[in-house]
Amino acid sequence: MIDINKISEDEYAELFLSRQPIEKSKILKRACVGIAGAGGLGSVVAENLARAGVGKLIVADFDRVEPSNLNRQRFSLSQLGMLKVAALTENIKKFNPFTELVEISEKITSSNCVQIFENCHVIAECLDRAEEKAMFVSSIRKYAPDMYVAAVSGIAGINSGSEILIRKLSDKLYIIGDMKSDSEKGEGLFATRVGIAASMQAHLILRLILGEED
Amino acid sequence: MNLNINGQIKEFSEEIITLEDLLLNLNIKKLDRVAVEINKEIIELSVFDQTAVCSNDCIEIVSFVGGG
Repeated sequence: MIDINKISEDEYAELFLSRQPIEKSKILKRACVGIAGAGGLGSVVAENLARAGVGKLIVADFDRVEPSNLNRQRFSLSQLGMLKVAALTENIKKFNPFTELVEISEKITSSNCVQIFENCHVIAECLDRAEEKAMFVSSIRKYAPDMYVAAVSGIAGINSGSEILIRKLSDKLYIIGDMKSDSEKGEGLFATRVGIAASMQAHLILRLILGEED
Repeated sequence: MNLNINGQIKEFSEEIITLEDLLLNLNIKKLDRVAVEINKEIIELSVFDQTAVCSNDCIEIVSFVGGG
């Protein structure tokens, strides 16, 4: 067993990524990904991307951790009341001290979203309300058309996880979900189905960074 | 007038002039929940009622639902 206190951060990074191909990890290390929303989708996307060694994550969410979040969002009882972006950084730093995390604790609007996510290669839309999703995707596509956007629509309820698909809408816009299960219609949100969509979203983002297209 | 909507060609009445007319015709009532591209250009919600749709336009409409 390696004594983690006796190795350098670089040595840990090498061990941490030893099950991924080195050339792919090098590309991921240079990437910057924006994550709009740190809830059921965003908390899983951020963790997955940090596990893959993405170099920089810009996470924006103004909300704080509540008990009703904990059935699906990757936070703990001890983090109740914390800003979600701060709680997420705390969780990620426990296994990955080298991914740079930028915490933005502001509400995302059509006028600040392009500035917040400037210089990102890909953006994950992880917002909750349909109106916010539409506003965010429209604003980024309009004012930052060179960025890839991976958005999500249709993850509520207990229908089959295999209904969640990735659709390529235009050159740089992908939508993940079943396109119909609405959380506002009382179907609820489960960690499993939300997590499937979030993992597909994170995996798509890795593929886009690595030059693969879905 | 023929329009290509999400990859399918459909015929519409000539009375449909703006994008807002089209969305209402498609029974999309909550206009603030959609993202629309016409010929690969995104159209913002604030100009749905001022944006003309023309025969043979390629229109992508994403109707978002909540959950995240």
